[in-house]
Amino acid sequence: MKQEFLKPRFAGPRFDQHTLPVEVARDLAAYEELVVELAKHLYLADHPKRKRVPKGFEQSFSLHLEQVEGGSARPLLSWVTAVGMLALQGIDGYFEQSRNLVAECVAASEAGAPLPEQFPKQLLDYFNVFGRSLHEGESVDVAPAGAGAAVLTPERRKALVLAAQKVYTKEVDLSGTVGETDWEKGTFRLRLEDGSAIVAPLPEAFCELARAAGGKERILTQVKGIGVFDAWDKMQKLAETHHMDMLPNYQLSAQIEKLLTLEDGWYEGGGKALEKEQLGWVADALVSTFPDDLAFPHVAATPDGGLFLEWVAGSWRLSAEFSLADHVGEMHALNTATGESAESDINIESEDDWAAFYAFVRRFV
Amino acid sequence: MEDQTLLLRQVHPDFFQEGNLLSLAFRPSAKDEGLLSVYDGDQIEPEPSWKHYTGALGYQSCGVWAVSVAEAGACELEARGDPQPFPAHAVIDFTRYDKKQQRAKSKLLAAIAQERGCLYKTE
Repeated sequence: MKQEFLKPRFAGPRFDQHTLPVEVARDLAAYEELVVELAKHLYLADHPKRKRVPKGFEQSFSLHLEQVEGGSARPLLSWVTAVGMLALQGIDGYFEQSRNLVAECVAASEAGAPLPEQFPKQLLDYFNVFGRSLHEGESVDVAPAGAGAAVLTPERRKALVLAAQKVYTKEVDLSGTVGETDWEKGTFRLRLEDGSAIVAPLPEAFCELARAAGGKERILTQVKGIGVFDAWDKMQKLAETHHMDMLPNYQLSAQIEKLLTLEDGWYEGGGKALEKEQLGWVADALVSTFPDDLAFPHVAATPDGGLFLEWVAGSWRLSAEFSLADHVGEMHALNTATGESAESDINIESEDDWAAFYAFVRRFV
Repeated sequence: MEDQTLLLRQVHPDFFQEGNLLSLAFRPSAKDEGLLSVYDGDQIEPEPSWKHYTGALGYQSCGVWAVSVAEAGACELEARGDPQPFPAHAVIDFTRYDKKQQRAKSKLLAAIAQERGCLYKTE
């Protein structure tokens, strides 16, 4: 048997195409769990002599995503009951009551009013997941048909969770360097770009990455997961690590990326923009081969659209210029105190070419 | 211009990094045709030169560095007034030198200017 249960209305730029990002499925699953747990609570409140809900109570309720309708994005959530569960007696209306009470709870939060008395505080923890995928400026209205609005926003979700506990969680996307790893506890320390550090769980799948990046200041590690925040929005720790990625020599990479923003006319009205595909090729090769023990160069564009590197080490100045189309690095070193100099044009096609490039640099830096 | 006359050079923000002047700051670009534009320090102070460059000309400069006429001469670079674009305009002449020689000269000038220090810098 199938019946319409709720059509939550998701609003915000991501929902304008009347589609639902897959990550929202986690929220809807949490909503289903909340409805079931709240229905159990309501049933037991009405039957104080019972210690448990009737057998099959939970199994009788299953939400299915049937379709997504317009009006931003409105997934149709249908209540599907297995045939064998139809005979379950005495539970009529509890899931609908639960749905309505969730909406009242959200509406109360929206109005700044006290939460409904029937809503148990311990279930507010479900809002740690339900609504977590909402970005700033997005919302979901969970009011049943015919009822007033019950709009959940990221800010209201936070307020609901904090009404019951001291911390709340939300999705985070962090960048930093990996410090020490505690292999026994399965955690690692991530030093963030603002200088602070947090401890995060280390899933098995990312152990090799943590080993490679650990203690290396030149490797930027990007971590996606679930952060635990206090009421002042200060992150306490990472509760879950979902994804990790590493970017070697990221300072060098960032310097080169900045050059991509230069447009024709950038220098005295006449500087040429760098050819993006060619720059990407040289940048990838440079960043992926750059030796750990070699100082990073200063990076700039030449007014005629080439890539320019310069090291200043004592009296030595060493420059490398790449005219991007022909994959040749023109190297020139000069001791500005003694006049001693050296130069070399080096192809930069193969790994051996890059080895020769760095060997030249090491003579002076 | 006298030997001690300072030749004021406007430096693009990308050419001054972590306290170092890149040699590009003192190298003529293709459109300069070997003549590096500077301001004649006998005719204009560093700050007004910066205001002229960023205001009247509309270009970007993070500050003003300089070499003297004598220092340019020691690098075998002649400096002379060139008032055609505007009265305080002068040039350092690289035209005798090929691309690779210009690279070396620009490194020398950048090192001298860096040693002298910045004469005017924006916040």
